[in-house]
Amino acid sequence: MVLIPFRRSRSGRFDACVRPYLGGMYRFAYRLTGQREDAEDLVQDVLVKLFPRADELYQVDQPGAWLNKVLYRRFIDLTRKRGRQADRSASSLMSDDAAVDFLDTLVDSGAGPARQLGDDQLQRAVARALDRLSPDQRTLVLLHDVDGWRQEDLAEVLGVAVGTVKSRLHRCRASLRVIMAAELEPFVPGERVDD
Amino acid sequence: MIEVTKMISCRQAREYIDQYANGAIAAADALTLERHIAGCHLCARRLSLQQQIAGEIVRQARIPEPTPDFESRVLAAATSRDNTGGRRWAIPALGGAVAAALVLGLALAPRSHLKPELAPVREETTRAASPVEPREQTVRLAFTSSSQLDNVSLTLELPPHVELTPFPGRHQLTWQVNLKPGDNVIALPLRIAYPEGGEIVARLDDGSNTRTFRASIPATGSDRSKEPSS
Repeated sequence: MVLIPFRRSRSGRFDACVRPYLGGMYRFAYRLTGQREDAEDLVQDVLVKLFPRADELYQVDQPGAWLNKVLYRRFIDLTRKRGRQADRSASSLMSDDAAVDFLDTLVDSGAGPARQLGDDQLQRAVARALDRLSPDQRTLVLLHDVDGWRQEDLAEVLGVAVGTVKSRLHRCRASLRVIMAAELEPFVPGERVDD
Repeated sequence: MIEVTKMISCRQAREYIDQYANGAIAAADALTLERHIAGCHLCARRLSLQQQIAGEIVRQARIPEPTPDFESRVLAAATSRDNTGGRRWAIPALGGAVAAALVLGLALAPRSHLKPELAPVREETTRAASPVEPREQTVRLAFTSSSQLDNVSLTLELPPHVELTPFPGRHQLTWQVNLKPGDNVIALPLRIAYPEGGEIVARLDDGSNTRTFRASIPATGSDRSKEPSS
């Protein structure tokens, strides 16, 4: 059990300001790192760096977005230091031409492919597809589609234009569709449906 | 026949299906897509499968809860060099002589689970003291929680002749604490000015429920088998 003095000290003010956003920071950090321990360490690292200059935080209108922005920058810094390629653009990984819609392979053949696949096959296909996405693509898709981040929020935190987020999301989904098509190909007739 | 009922083409409909499956489509576009799907079974099936995939992605992308003490730990790490806020109260070591063990039960929510457990006072004098000199005792408070409770306000009220050794002169102190499931023990190093009995009041408030516990400090030479009241 951790006891923290209730006095509104410098640390108390910092605590009161930051604590409401820790859950969101953790979830964002988890999306970036993919591991609970790494996510917790990243949040802690950000707070340790931030506390000495907490006055900057107190001037911000939207602390949640600001904290996530700081967290993202810190993640990039740490990743670069480790020699990884952190901020790889999804646009370099997948061209729109390659984005064949696997759903186009559906034909009107009675039971749909989802029924033919079964839950287990769908689960495995999705798992493999997520694994095969690049970390950047997976993070972007999950933040938007699963965690409900708005494109404007993503643009703010990632430091890019909203249009860039939109186009990257489009490419990520296209990439996901290509991977899913490959995963589901044995189960789905290969006839293409034209409009 | 399908073509007659379409307001948009299948190619256009595909542009909307991802957004629709993910619940991120404008209302007008959703209506347009629904009208198309009503007359196009291929796109309807395309959407159905896309929705299953989206649901499966959500299921597989669940984020595990952080460790129970995550918030307090990272905040403590960040502010550990702050000396402006008085002292951080490190929990005294549980070893050593114990003057009294006061066991209180805690379950703030739901209220029906409020089952304080009381244990007899167990005393071992920490330091021999003459009747006129202050004596020091360590009192243990044990809060038994049925679940993880974060940001609980713990307020201690001390009699006028009793103070916590690290906080001289203060008779009411409040902390924010996190309680883990099971027993949570706090060791309170007390300085008791004169050999008179008294009562420690511990109040726990999680924002919606408050529980108050009272524990006796027996006077020197009094009946030490007396149990604390609650």
